[in-house]
Amino acid sequence: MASNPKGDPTYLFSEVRAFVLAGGGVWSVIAFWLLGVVSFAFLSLSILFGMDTIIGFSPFLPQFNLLINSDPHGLVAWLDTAMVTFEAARGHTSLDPVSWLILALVCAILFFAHMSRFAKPHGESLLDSPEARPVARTLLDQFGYFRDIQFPFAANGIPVTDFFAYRNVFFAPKGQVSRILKGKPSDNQQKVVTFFMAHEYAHAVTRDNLANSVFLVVVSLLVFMFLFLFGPIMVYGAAIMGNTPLGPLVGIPITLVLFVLFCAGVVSSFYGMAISYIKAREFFADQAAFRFVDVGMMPYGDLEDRPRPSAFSALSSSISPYERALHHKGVSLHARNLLVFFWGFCFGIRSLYILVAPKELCWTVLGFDLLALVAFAGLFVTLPKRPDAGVGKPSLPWLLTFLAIFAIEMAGPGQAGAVKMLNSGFFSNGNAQLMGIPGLSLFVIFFFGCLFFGFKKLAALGHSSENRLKGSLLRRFLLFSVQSVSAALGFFVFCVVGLIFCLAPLGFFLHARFFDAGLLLTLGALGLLIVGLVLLFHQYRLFFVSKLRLFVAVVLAETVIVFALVNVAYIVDLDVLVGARQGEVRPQGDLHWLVHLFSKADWSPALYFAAISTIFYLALRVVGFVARVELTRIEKTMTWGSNR
Amino acid sequence: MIINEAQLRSQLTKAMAEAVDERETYDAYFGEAKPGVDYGVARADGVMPLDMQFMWEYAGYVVDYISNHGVDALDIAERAGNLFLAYEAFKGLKSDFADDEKQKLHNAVIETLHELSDLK
Repeated sequence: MASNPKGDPTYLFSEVRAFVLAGGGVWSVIAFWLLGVVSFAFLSLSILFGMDTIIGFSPFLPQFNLLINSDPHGLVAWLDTAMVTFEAARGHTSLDPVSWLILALVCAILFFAHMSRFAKPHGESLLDSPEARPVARTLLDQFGYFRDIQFPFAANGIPVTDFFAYRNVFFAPKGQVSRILKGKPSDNQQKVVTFFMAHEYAHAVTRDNLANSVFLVVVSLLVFMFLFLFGPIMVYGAAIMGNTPLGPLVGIPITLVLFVLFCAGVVSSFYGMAISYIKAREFFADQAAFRFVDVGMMPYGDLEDRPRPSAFSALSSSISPYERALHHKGVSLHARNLLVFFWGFCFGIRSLYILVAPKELCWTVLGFDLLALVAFAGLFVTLPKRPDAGVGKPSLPWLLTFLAIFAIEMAGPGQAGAVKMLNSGFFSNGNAQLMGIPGLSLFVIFFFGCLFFGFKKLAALGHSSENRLKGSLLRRFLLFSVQSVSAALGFFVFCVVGLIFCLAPLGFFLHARFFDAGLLLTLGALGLLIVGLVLLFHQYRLFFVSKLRLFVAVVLAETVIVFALVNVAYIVDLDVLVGARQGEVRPQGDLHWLVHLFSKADWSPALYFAAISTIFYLALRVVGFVARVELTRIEKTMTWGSNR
Repeated sequence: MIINEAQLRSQLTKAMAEAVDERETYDAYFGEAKPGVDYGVARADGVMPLDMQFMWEYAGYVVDYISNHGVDALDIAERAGNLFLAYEAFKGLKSDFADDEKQKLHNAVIETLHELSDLK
């Protein structure tokens, strides 16, 4: 009902609001928030427990380095003695309010980086145009809530073609209000504008932009934890799997491919959660708009016989016309992917938690399980249905989740199990089962699930006449892989900057160590902190914003850091090796020791090594950036192409 | 002269858009696709305005007719009036065009087709 009789005090917006708040959609919002809050709580705990574990392990590091480089067989016997003292040496950051404060600060920075990546729109009001004012006034009076309709100015010479709302202002692209602006007859155009007002208002009711930003912070924390704790183990695992009798010429590429596949699987299955949620929200917003603004036509245009988007659309936040057409029929192609990605996401969080939590607290992960399963049940009931049989289910989420579960299983429970075989005191049986049994069940389920989908796809290949919008799938897959390697590299430097430039000086100030330290050290820490925070903020934005200027600035700064750190790492590593050859334990991690080491080190091989590594790093980043720009361009062209 | 179907469709759409003073809209939706600015995830992107859709589909209708029937572009120009009526009746797409504007669209198509046959 687009018309609202004069004198009727109820605005259209209050009806949309009542519909949104009464439907199943709002319960899916609540379930999603529950999942986000629980994940955030347990990830925060995992990060602090992870710090404790690292602190606990650091006194053993020199001995460990010595043994693994000189006498690997001695490790087993050594593990027996080390395990006893390890629990006692664990840190206590999780009990320290200062570390919670630092964590909160870091999360706040990430959150603001997310919010700031959305551009602030500028536009011209329809109320300022004498031709359009009466129509705009009527539309606003009918709908309520919005106090202005504007068309956004072209940004950087690119015309804006998005409908969106910013606070109480509704933005419609100029082409969609051109007749209203010219004062021509525009009944249908007004109906379309009203439709999108209802659509955008439905988004505003459930705070979809906010939920997305908050959830991406959770995903970033998870990726951080994952790469930091599991990254090295995964390289090791991939190296074992890539080991062939053909030697390193074949083995190293296989190892790299496996590692990239695992990383891409894990990261994209975490990211898939956020994307599926966006798809679900679009579905609910469309439902609200279709229901209340009976335009007697398709506001998205004629959607008959639209080609189905390629598998990648499960990871793309834009909604293809094919999906819009399904929304009109009351189903959604991708929203229920959330229920598949859920398992990789939750399995990642709980495995990390059990690995780093103190032995006697591992059982608390059951609390996470319980709440996550409640959220899952809520989502299962309330998320929109998939299209009927005949329209194939998206299988990419299954594949990615399987890769993620495989990688986590190999790096977490698998490695822990291997160590437990050598030393049964490493993990209690109860904790091992807590981690191992869900991992094994998920692995088996997803393995057979993927096999099933694979066979179905193969069977369908023979008699497939489906008109799919493929658009150089292989090319996009390659670009995607290159881009994810570069992103993983960027994330690694991001973590390093966070630890060295932000966490270390923050700890220095929050523990009030500047009373004992000299003025020079305090000023140094302050400078480090400021540089670190600025860099961290921009590094983080670079993951989501692809601007050339931002890229150049961040990568130049990172290049300097990578060069310096590779130098340090080379010299320290060389010292450890020399120590191992002579059979003596070298002290590590001490600032004075480092200064001493650098003063007597031979720098020329280190500089040479660092220069090559830095060039390699720079090349990967640049190639990754080019791939990313190219991928965005292809996707954009495809979305538009399918519109025409 | 051989004309690409997709090219002819764009050409006809552009001519119609110019005739009803919507050239700017045509450029916005059919210009080079570049990644734009991100205003938030809650947005509806790239939805084509109804009028644009109407013209685009009509151009497609004419091009389909030409490719199916293999007739001379000049013949089509003479039949364009009937084609337009048939298109409106079968497609049933909504638009805000008044009768005089529909006449302009119609003329633009005829003119473009005439230009093409002159080139031959």
